[in-house]
Amino acid sequence: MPDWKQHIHPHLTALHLAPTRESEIIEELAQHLDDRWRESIDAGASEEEAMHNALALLRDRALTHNLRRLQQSRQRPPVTPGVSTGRWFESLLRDLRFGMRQLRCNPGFATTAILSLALGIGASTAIFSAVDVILFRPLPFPHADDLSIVRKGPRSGEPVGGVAPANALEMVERVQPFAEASAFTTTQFVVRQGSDAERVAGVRADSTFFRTLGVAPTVGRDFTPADDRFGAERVAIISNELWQRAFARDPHAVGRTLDMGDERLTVVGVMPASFRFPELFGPTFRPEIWTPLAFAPNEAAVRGAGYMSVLLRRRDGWQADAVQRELDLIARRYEELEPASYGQQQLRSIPMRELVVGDTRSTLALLWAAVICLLLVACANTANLILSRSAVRSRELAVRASLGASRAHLFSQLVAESALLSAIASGLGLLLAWGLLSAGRDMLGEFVPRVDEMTIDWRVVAFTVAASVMTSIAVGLVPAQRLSATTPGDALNRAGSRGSIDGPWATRVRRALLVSQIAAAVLLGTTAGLLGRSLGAVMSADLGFQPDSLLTFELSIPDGVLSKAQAPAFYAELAERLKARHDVKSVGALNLAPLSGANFGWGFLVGDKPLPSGTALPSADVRVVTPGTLETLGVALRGGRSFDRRDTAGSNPVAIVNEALARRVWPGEDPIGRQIKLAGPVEALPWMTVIGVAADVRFASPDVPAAPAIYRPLGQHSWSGMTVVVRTIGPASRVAPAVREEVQRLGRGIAVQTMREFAFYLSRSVAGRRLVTTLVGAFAGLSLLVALVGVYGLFAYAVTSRTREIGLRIALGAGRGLVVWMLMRNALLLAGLGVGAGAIGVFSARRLIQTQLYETKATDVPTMVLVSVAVIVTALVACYIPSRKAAFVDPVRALRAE
Amino acid sequence: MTDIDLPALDRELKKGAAELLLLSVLEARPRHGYELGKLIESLSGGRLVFHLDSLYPLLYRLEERGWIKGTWVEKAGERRRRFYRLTPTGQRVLARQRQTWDEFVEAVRLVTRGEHA
Repeated sequence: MPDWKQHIHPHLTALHLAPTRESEIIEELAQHLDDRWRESIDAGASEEEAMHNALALLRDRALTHNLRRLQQSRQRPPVTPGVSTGRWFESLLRDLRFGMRQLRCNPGFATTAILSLALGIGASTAIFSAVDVILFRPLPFPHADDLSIVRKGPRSGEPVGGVAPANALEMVERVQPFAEASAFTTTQFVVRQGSDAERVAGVRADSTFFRTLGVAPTVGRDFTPADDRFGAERVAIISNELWQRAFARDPHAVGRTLDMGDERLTVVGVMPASFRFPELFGPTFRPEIWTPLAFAPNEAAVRGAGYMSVLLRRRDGWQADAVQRELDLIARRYEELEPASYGQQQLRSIPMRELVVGDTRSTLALLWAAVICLLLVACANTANLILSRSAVRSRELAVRASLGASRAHLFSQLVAESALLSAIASGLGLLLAWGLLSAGRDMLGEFVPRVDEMTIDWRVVAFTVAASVMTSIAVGLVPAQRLSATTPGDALNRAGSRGSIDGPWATRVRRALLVSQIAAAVLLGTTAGLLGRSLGAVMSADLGFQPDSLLTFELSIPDGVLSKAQAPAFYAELAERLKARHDVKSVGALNLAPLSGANFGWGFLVGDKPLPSGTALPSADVRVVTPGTLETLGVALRGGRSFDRRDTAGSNPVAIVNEALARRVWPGEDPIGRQIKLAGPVEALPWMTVIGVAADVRFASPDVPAAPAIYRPLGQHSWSGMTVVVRTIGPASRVAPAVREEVQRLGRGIAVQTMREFAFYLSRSVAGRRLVTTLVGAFAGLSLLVALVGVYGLFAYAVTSRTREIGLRIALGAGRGLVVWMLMRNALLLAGLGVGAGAIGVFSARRLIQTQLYETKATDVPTMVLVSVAVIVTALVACYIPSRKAAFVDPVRALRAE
Repeated sequence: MTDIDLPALDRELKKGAAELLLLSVLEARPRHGYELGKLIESLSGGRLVFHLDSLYPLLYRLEERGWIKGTWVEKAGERRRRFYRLTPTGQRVLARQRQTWDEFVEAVRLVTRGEHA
């Protein structure tokens, strides 16, 4: 019988059938040919003829062609991990499944890599959310980039001041062709509800204010020009929160009144819950009541005092410089008309967003840089971990390559693994970022604008995804490229010995990664150290007064109880009563407490130093105080006398100036007895005699040097809403309840409100600085920890892979100390390189770091040395543990180990 | 002799006819490939001949669809053979195809008899 197989097989080879299926088909077809052959023989044909008849059935290509359309000819080849199946999605899924298995098999590696990446991604995502909202996102108003605010200031400097009512109103008229404009100013209201009183920040604005911003009340109506007329019914628009507090969201609140003591405001509208007043005056200024300006004729005519702001919205078709040119013209005209206010001054339209960002820009830049540093450390660490596993992986990959996996597929497999790693880390990171943002919102609200807008939205998720992709490229691509490039022969040949993959290339890369990690740890550590020193310097800065054992509070005084004329006597009586207590040393009251965030700047003239014509008036911080206040605060008197009961409305007008003002106005001269005057009509603001010089007090912030200040006695300069300060004997907190009772005993409905130990204001004034320091410190600590894990990992691995060599050295008589030194020398070298690179990093970033420092230089050598030594010592400790283990290797066992 | 590969027949018709032929001769009992070819040839009076290179691919396709099922059967003293039998699905398909075919033939008959002349 002929061998049919050799005739059939060529028709099937192109089909790549599964071997068993192929042999079945051959068997079946052979049977068919055999039947045909036998038939021919039976019919009397010769064997040759029968053979010919049978083979005639196998027509050229027809069988192959017809079989190709069958499923079984598309039989999948057996799966070799890493070998292409030609279907990318399936192969991706398989790569991911395989990667998952790899991670599960190496929980230590997976946990370390994922956690460090998650920390890096989480922290950077949270900071990104803040950076994105504050620096990049437009303010939440329609066409918000058209909005700007007019600021006034010296031509040479940054304009930060406001303008006077008359100037503001004229400006609003003048810029109309180019911009919608609205004049407004900030104010404070005391809202009474029964016996309670609440201080509420507010804004007085002309009737176009909300329209210019592009917002409108959600309940009720906007202001009309009629509301803005002097003598019109006093109306108010309130915030959603106040609507909740005062009216329990009553939909009929419109038309009801708010009791302000000396006046009543009729509510005409409620702003939407989503509306936030732009944080132009710092994040803590959150107005909740808006009233029309409704200037009295005399107020509308005031020039000089700059407490008004002008809001602008550029009209379509006009560029910002058209508005600015108009403001320049206005400023030049005022310079001629009012040289005392506008000499050498400029008016500038500053984009609203820039004012909201304020000085958080440099803080955010620093945090952003720090967090990216942390992310890079985490990436470097993970890349290093992946490389460390390459010895094991190289053999596995070699086996797969020899089973037919192409280099491209090994590569994609390895990239899929790192992508999986960073995807899991991103998920965790996103959760972490969400947690950080939720926790940080309250903490940040005091000093960071727009915290309410910081959420995990699509932009943040997009950032995380991008970070994750970049991370997986950074941590996976290079090792993958390297590993997939190993030839099977190479790896298999060396598979017998440990650590074989570690050619000079891998070692170099891993050392470079480690050096960069140490460098980042040094950079972050030094920055944190500098911030810490700087915080210490701020905390111990001479404030010019004694902040300890100081209690402050405000009083809620019902209307009609206290006239302006009665106030000095009232505060004197209160002081006497409180001082009668054994635990109260002294008592005073002033208009605006130090570090409260509020100040009151006013232009002033000097009797014996007339200003050269065409120069603007200098400005001073005006503090109205009761007798004994400077003593209570602990402000030293450098000359002259303090205020006392003689300084009343009827006596000679007097003032005390601070050293900063004295230095500026009367350098090298004695200010006592000189004449000084606040800008304004002489009937209201008369010439005053300087009776004393007080030490400089840092009213604004512990890190801002004192500005010129003028103190005025309450008896001669009335002020409503004084803050009482009490110097206690012993801790202020212990005295607080007694003080509260004492005030209650005054009767007449007078009550204490917002009582605080002064330490609160002090702590609040450095809270932003402290937060930045804490964050950078935390980033530094984390990066150092991650770097140490890297150092430990690298050396533990080096020791393991060199066990044989170490054993040999010990067998040949090397001392154990020498072995330890041999390994430690390496660590010292790497740490040294890292410290050097870190120092270069600090030097390169010195300008950015300097923006956050107070009385500390970014290139402060002691801090740098301290951090460097700490990093080197910890690196050596991390290396010492595995090195010591190596030194106690049993040479015999070590030599047998392989 | 008319070959089943006659290009004049529509591709679908041809495929349908070939399937119908195989299913029909398998209805009575299981048969192996050579027997199937021979049977169709003799039943059609030599008019229909299945080539090896279209017979087996068609059998495999019907098997893939689950209409027929092939099984290796060994008999003492003989080489084993692969026998094909109709599956329940195959039986249902056969019934349906047979009906469609009858309707088609009837329709063709109506048209080609020329009764519309």
